[in-house]
Amino acid sequence: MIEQMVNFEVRRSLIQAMETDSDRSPSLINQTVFERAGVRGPNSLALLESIGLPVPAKPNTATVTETGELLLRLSNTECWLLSLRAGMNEKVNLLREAVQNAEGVYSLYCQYSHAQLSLTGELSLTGNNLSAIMAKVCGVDLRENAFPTGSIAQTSIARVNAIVVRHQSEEQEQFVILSDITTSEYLWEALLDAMAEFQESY
Amino acid sequence: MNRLPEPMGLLIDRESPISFSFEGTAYQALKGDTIASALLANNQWLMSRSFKYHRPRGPLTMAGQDANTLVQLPSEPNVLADRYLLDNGLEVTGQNYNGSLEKDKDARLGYAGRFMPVGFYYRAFYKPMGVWDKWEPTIRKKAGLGIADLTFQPTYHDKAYLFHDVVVIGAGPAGLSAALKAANGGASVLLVDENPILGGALTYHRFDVEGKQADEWRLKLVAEVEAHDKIQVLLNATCNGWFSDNYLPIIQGNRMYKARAKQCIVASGAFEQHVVFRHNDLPGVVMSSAALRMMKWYGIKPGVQAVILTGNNDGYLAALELAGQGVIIGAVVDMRNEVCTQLKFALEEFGIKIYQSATVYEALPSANKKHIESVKIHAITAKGEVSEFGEEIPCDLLCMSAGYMPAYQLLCQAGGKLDYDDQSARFDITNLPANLHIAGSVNGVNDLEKVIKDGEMAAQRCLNALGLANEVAEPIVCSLKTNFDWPIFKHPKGKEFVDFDEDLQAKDIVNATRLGYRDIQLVKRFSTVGMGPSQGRHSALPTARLVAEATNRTVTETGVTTARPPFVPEKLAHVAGRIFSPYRRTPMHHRHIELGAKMIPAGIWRRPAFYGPQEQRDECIQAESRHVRSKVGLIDVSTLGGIEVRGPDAAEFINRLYTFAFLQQPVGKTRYAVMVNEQGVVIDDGVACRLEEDHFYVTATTTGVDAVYRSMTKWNAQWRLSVDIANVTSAFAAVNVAGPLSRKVMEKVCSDVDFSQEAFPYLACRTGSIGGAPVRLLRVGFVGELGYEIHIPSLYGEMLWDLLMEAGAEFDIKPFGVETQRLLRLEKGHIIIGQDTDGMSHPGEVSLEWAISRKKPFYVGSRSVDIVMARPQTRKLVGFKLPKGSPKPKEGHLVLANGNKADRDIRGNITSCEFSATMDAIIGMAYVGIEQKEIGSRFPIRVDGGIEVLAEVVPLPFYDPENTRQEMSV
Repeated sequence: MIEQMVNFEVRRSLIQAMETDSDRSPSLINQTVFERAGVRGPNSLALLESIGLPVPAKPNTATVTETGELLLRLSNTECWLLSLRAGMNEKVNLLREAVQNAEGVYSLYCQYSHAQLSLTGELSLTGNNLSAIMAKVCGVDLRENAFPTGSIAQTSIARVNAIVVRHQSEEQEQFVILSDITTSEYLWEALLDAMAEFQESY
Repeated sequence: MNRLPEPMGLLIDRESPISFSFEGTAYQALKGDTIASALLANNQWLMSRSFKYHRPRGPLTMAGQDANTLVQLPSEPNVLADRYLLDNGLEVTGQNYNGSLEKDKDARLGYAGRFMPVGFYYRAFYKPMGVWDKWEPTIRKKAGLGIADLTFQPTYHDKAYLFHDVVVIGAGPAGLSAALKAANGGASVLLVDENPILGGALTYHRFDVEGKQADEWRLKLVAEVEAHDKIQVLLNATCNGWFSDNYLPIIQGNRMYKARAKQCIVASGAFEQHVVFRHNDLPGVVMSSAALRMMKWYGIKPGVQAVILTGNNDGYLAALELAGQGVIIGAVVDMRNEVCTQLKFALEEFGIKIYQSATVYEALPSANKKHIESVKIHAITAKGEVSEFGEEIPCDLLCMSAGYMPAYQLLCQAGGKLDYDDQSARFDITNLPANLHIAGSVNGVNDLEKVIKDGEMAAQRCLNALGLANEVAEPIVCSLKTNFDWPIFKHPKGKEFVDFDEDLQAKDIVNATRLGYRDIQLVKRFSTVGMGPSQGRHSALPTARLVAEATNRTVTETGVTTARPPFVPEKLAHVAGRIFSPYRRTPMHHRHIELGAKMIPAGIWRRPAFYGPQEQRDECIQAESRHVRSKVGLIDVSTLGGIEVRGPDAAEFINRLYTFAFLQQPVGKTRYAVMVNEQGVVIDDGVACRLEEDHFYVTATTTGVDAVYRSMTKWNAQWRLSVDIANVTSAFAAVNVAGPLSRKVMEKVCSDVDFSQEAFPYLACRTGSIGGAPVRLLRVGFVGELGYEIHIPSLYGEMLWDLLMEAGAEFDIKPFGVETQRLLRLEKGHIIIGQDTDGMSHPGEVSLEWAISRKKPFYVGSRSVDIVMARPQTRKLVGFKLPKGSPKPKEGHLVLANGNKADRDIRGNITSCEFSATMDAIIGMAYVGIEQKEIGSRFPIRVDGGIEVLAEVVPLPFYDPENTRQEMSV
């Protein structure tokens, strides 16, 4: 399947909102239509390294590329590359091209099988709020000391399977959540409900 | 209002007055008051009526440990007035009375007490047969306490997880010191307490003659805990159960926290125990700790003149505290014959008279019988026996200190064992599981400094277990005796209550044993002791003692009844609140809503059943069906499972899993794929599309795909074939465009595929693009018409739908729902796995022999299929027809054996049935007996109302048996 031939603009997420009230923190951002790609197979890590991507040292950890994408290592032989903003597609396209004729590497369908949500908070405001929000929907301890930046949990959120990644930029901390796209509206609502008591204007 | 000056009144805000009403009378209170403390501040002691005899009752513990303060709120019955924080304007009433709280006509039941012994209802109303039915309405009317508000609107409740190394339950001196020690050792600590402030007994109890220790320790420990960044404090929170591996539900307000603690310390304290004597339930008779709580927490002077009845030193200390606040102490009545000299001297300074080896034998009520007015003090002559004559002392307050019962509930839930020690007259708790620790008075340690040390030692054990320390934690031994061994004084006239909740007297317990109920569990069930709201907090110990004596056993042998969660009453809302019920939606979901679809659940999915209002279901389905047969329709089939199998061994893998032959399947072709399990039962079906030599795209049923995927990964864990298996159900949206005009619609939206019959025949698959997005196209015939399944990456699903609706407008394209699809495929005789099959259906029963390859050596379940199909067959899935006006069978209705006998055997059941406008008849599929399967034979179906209809077996398919419709070339 040649994804890059499709115009980005015609992608439509099941979740109709792009983000919650952006004047409030924490906020929830729908990144489902952003570019991402996944590879799996015995030669997948070598392929990623061959195109200059920083492969995480062990499963369930993530690294950040020099251009800001998030590279998730989900098993010994599986990695996903996520864009965190619209139009960030160079590295993802590079990977898609590289996998076309690679031996022992299979491209994955994470662009279409999963919704990508970002629970984001201003570092100066949130304190432990993001972890507290997640503690209302997830039985895994996602507090900073137990789940530092770059950690991945493949777990259940509000009773749907999800991949949770802790990420931090200069001003923001965030949980990037990847979950089945068909339950994404449900999860969106569940997260909004969990967030409500913590939201504050800034 | 009755208020003592500061420092009394730790919990109240004297600057914030509030008002409320009780039984229609307006009262003033202060912020921080509970309902009970506010009533006491207004000298209203009568708060409830007892369950059985409707006796007047007032506060007993002031800690929510008894049923004496149950009141009614407008939308909530059975509220503990001594726990419920008062809101401004709250309307409170009493409950469980006939008339008014003050003048309860049912109080007359007390006079009939002698005719209503324990077990009265069981024994009185079971014969003659049917008598219970006559009495039941009357008894039920009298039973129960508060009144449920049936117009109540549910409120928001939710849950959250908590993660800590150490959870400490109880923030008294032991809990505080344990939390500090654990946190200082590097552990993250959760400290839980049911009260609004930290400190536990330090907030109300007096530990020394001078009355200084409690405050000094409280201020020190609380300040350190509050400043510690490794300690999270939950106040007004109750740990309501203990589950395996320290899984702790903690209720705070409308939230239930679920904490999984690596280590848990229970420092839950102990319940002060009452003395069993006549009229020990009168308002004004309270635990000593309750009187102290009234003063220290709420600044309430509990009485003018008090008598203290004690079996330990704590009664003396309570007397000092009361005297210090201006309460006249008429006497301290000590059941023991020895006394602490220091305390004796301290009391003598206040001029307080001490009676030793004596007890209150009877409390006497005031003229209106609603408060204590005096007590009769008798000398104790032997265990439970008193002198003939006593001395009457006036008082409006009697404080009882008979000893303590550890708050053992959580610990016994964890498997803890209670051992009674005759020397100390108390229960010790042993046999705790690993990672669960105990500290403070629940551990039998009562000396304050030792309590604090005991908390530290428990924390030390936690730190050792967590690997944060490795120091010896010495057990703390405390010899301070707090329990009097026999504080039970039966009176010839009774009314000496063991269990206040259920109005059970000492003789009721003893009588239960005389009736043969020797086991404590049977005593409980027969007498209902411990079954009330306080769950034996005060009745368990005296009951154990009484049963032990009556059955000549030790108290340890007798034991107490099982403690189960929840520890305190828990609302269903706490359990039910914010339960997650996930649902799946297809990418076109919002389009279906806009088009007026009637959505129905399909497993976890939501799918359109048909488009139109529910009341026009049949008309909508028939119209949609006609439309597909005559023009063109489209249905969202995104819920269909999709699995990608890629790799050099892809064909071999598919060939092993499905019954058909796939090794020679050409690229660009689809093949029907049936999956059976190892027992030979048909479990799923789909279409295997060979997109490339090493790439199969296999569809599966909506509800079966997850199991199919699991099965695939399981088998390949053994086979180790070189394939990658991916469940891509959610990655693809899918639409089936069906009907004689479907090709014309497809040609408009997809320009890079040749749709002619020759280039794209039935059962072929192609790849192309629609709207710039890549698509997989499958020529299918599920509904029996020319049709194309389009599979497109999910993010373009809605775009695809819009393009098809737009392109199809000139051909009058219309959407159809899943119920219409079921009718259409029924007409075509296609089975749905799971609907037309069950847990026993093998391929032969459902006429799928053609889909089994006899040439290949193996597929999963092949041996079983050979065996079950070689056996004599007993049933068969057949098509049947009924005349148009006949009663319509429903799925699940029974197929009976032919013949006229009334008790005919069941031969099968209906699996699908619907009226078909196309066939102008009722058509369906059913399992029938093997002798009923021949075309033209008739079999009876029992439909609703027991009516039998005779259906005719007809050949399948009902519609287009020559398959001309799906092969049409124009």
